[in-house]
Amino acid sequence: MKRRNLLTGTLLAGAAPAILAGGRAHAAWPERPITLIVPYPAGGGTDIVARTLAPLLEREIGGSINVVNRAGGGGITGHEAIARAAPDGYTLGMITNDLSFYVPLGQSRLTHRDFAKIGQTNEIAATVTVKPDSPHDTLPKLLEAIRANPGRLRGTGAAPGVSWHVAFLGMMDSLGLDLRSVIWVPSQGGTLGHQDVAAGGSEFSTASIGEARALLEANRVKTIAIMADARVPQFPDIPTLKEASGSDWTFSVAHGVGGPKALPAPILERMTAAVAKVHAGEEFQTQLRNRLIRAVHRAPADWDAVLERQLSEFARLLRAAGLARG
Amino acid sequence: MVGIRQRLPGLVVGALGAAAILEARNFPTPPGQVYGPAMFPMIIGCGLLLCAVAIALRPVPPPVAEPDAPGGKLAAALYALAPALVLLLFEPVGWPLLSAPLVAVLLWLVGLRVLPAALVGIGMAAFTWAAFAMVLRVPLPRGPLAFLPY
Amino acid sequence: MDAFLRALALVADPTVLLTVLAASIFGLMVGCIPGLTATMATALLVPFAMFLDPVSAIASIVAATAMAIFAGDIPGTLLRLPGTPASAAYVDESYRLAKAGRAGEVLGLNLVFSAAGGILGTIVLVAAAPLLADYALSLTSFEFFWLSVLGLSCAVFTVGDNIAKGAASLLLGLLLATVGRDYTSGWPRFTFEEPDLLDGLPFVPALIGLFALPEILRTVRARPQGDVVTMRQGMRIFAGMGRALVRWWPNFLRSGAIGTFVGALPGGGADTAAWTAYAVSRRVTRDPEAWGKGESLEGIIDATSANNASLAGAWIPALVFAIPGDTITAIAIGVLYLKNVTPGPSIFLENAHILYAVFITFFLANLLMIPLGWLAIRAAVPILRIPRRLLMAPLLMFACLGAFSVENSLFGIGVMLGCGLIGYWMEANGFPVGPCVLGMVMGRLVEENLMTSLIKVQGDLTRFFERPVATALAVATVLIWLWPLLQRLRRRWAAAQ
Repeated sequence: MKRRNLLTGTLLAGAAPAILAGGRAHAAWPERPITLIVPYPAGGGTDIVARTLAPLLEREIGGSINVVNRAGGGGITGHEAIARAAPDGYTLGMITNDLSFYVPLGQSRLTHRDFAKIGQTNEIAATVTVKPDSPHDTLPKLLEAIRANPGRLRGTGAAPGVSWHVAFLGMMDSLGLDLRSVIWVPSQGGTLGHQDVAAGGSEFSTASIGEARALLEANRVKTIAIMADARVPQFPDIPTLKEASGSDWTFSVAHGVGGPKALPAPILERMTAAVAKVHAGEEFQTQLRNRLIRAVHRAPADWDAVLERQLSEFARLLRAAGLARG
Repeated sequence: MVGIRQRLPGLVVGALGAAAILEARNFPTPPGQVYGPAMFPMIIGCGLLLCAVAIALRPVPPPVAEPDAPGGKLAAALYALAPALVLLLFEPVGWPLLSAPLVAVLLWLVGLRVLPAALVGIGMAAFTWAAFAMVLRVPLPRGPLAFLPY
Repeated sequence: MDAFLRALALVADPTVLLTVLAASIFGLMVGCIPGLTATMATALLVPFAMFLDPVSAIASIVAATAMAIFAGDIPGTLLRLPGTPASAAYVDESYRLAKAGRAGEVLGLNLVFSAAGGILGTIVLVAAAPLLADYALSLTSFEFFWLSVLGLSCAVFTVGDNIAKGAASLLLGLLLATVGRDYTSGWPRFTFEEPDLLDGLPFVPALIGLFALPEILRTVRARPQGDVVTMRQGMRIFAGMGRALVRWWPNFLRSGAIGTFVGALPGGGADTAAWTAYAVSRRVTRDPEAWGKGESLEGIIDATSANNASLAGAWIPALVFAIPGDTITAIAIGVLYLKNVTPGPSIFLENAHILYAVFITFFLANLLMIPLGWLAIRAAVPILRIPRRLLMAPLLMFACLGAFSVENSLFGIGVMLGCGLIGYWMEANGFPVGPCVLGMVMGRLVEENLMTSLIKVQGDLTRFFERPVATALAVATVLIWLWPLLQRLRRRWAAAQ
């Protein structure tokens, strides 16, 4: 972390004339609208966080922010657009820990290392969710059934190799269970994964609690564990994975604000402070709580360390599941 | 000559089917699955091969094209080239400076006089900027005209 | 009742009414421009929804999408360019009628049956949402697989006169639908190392390419023919509407029901609804001779009723279980969350007044469609006085902009161009492009549900018939396949008697 700041420093010093002009520009930043790229479609989880954040950030930095959806390519194209943007502080974006899947899956060389991190904003935790009248209506019973019937039970919630599937792989791995003793049924997003469980197509799903909320209310599914280190305030009866099984594994889809790697230090610092301040505010906290999204702030250095750890851990899990390539 | 012209559709469909099957053979079946990602493209490829045989066996002359306008072929080719030009110049030149002359030239090609063509071109650039960039908030590139409002 | 009165008061608020009006005009604009879809209209409304109250936000989406789906018929009829994918199923038939001087009649029918379809779908939504959503919730990939095969089987009857070429076109569409990361393994298929293709070939740019570019190139190339489209009937677009309503009501009811049902199924949207209703109509018509010659209104009426009905249908699972019925409600659910209106069974208790307000705006939007649509048609029809060749350059620009703005990406323009050249070659060699688009719409549904089911049963095909509903659907599918054979047998038997 230190070394990078040093590097940025030397780079800045090396291009003195440009900096002179640039320095004044930074002082005046932002003097035109900032584009905040969301690598996923309008209305999705990442988009909601971005659109909640943008007006609050506008107030904080005193400039206008346009949220632009750049979906497609499983998030790769949007992330790439952020990484490759001119580092003038006028193109930033929401980045997610999906960045840790691309290299192991052989889809892109893009990782979190290609970004300047401004601040993590939130986490959406994975769950274990079953049908209410299922014979395995607690986590120990479900795990026992998996052990007793290898290759019979079906889990679902995501396409193979991404988000909730990795959550499932990590859980199995941490409990010493064979990753292939459960049939993984791909689903088009978490909500439809929960729906398949409610319809009896699969035994359990690992998608988030926000995606299950309506089905939980209707008593069509039952969440038996949440893969986070704390319970959800709105659902105090649902145990964490550790409480239910003893496993230390946690998994969340995490979002945050980032920019191109060479973002000038003054802008980076101002944005980092602005994101931290907005995050601590009641408005942001309430909005996220209502959506069952956990507001978790991480400063650039901490966030960087978490992403770096996930990069190697997810790669290991995907290799073990036979999904890694390249 | 007639032979090739009439056999071509069958050949193209056959080649497409064969290419689909050849490429799909490289798709690995994930561990623990009976059917893999190759199955569906393989079935489609076989279907295309069957269609190719049916088309080749009974070559039907293509529908009679309408008579060409004088210079119609060239105009059509240039119209087809226009999106390629947009692809190349969209970012560097920006939408307004690209679309105005492009529309003018395309209109001139199909017989509009120079002045009306140029006016429509400029009007079109202004209208699309207002509609797409300002109302619909599509981030169209400005090009050198950095002062344009979104 | 109390909630209903509160809802009425909510909707009667001038800001809500103004929002509905503005969103309607916006929707008409978006729908009229080939290349901009109802889904995009919704996505473009999200930033504005931030500043609106919950009812206005949802009402704006409801109004804009209903108008856009209808307005897509206007360029479809006048120029053979579908304004939204939902109109693609019947542009050929509409344009043929328009060339025969019946544009006013076709547009009038489109308008009235779109509004009626929307109202029918809304009635189903209001009356049966919890019940239907409950049913949709019990469907698994097995049922979805047989449903999609059933749809595709009906669709085979749309391939046209030359069966081999029609089938080849359908197969090309199915093949194009396999482009991108494989659903079950994540393996990139036919992507040629291009990250933009990982999520599949972008559908809207491909559709614009296949329909718009060949038409533009052909028009520019061909000798001008003077008055191609004339308005024989002038502006009296509602002439003979009463008779039409009497004559076509069975079609309308059938297609409205199909549309609502397809809309309520996750994965099927207004385009799927239109194709399915069109295909069923073609299958059961009493007058098959008139089809494809520019004489039959039947398919148009069926499809235009179905696509508007599907909009309301899609809200059924969205409101009750937060499961999107189509791409529009997928965004709308996000907006609901944003406005702290949580979709789910509790919406009927906690937020009943908002729910009723949404229902009322559905009716309002579909009724408002008649006068606004009439104005839009009046405004659009004078386009026909401009020589057709001169319209092609602006349309080409709209096509480029539409292809770009789907993902704000130049890649869309490239796809549009590529598919356009393929479409031009196909039509010049007697391949219809309609089945190709249909294949792209249905291909993913069929393959994903087939593969998911195969994974669940680990390849054991007999278990495809385990669930009673799945079995019934399977039998229906097989019957449709065997129908021509059975008919021939019956005829032979009758002749032998």
